[in-house]
Amino acid sequence: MLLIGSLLGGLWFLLFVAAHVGTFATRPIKNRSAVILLLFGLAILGAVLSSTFVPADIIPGVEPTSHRAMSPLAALLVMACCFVLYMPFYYTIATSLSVQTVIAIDDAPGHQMALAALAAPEVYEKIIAGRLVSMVQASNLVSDGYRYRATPKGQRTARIFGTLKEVWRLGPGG
Amino acid sequence: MLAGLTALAFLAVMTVAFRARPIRQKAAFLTKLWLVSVPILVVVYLLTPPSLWLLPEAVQDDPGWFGPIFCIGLWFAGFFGGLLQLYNLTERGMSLRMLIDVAEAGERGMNVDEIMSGYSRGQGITWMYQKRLDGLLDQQLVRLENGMLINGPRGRRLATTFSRLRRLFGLGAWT
Repeated sequence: MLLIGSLLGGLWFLLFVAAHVGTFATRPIKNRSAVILLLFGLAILGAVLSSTFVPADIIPGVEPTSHRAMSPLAALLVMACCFVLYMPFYYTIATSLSVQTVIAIDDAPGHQMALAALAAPEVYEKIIAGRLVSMVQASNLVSDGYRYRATPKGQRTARIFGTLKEVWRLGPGG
Repeated sequence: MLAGLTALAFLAVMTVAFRARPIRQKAAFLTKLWLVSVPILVVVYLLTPPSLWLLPEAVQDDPGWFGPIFCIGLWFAGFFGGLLQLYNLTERGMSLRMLIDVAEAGERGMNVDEIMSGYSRGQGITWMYQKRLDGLLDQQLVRLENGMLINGPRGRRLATTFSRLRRLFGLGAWT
């Protein structure tokens, strides 16, 4: 059942990626994270249902020896693994500052850009403002329009990662 | 189960290594450590019984030949999607750093100017951007000529690929 569940998990993850690309390419999306989670949730539901009810002898020559419940468990594990590999890749495309820099240089006239223009305060301010909006949307920060404060959820996240920075002796970083 | 135990052992070794001595390129160090861990995991998998002395047959790998593939796949995802990402986020995450700075400011909070000047315990946002630029220069993705930044061949390929991907996902302005 491990093999059957894994194959179904992989298949449903491919369907999730297709739905992600299809939805984002064709519709204006305001809250991207929420839509990704909704699509992934639907894909998980599909994977669990199909791996629960798939006939055990569906793969010729493979005689399942494990319990039936191993199939949805394997499907869930495969989907979780694919998701944790896929999302950093997607967020690199969506938010990486280094990627943004090489694209800005490539798009500039003569494919070159003055360092002073790229490292200007107004550029930083725009990037910071975008990140702050995302963190307010994710309920990590609240704002009165001028000042930003961490919500209890934001404080918990900050504490966890602050501790990790100390345990791994990484310094302030960022 | 073996993949999970490997992840725990890896986390312990990584923590000891980070605390024991300064490591310059930590991500590269972790990737090398992962490469060392894979053959060890394979050997341990082959030397241990499928039951691991405690699991009933109903929850053991089937078919048998798929077990090691599944185990290595889990460890691949656990490392590249889990531990390495956790390290990257903790070390380099820009939004996370801003969140920690704002949380440390307490009830008073911070405005945009304070966030920019106080970024990373006062190093400032210019430091952050310089760090990214240094990374791009180190990796020879870009070069600096007379105050102008120019993409190298790898930088051009990266820009073309990621521009296409951004269009594919319908991504507009950067956030």
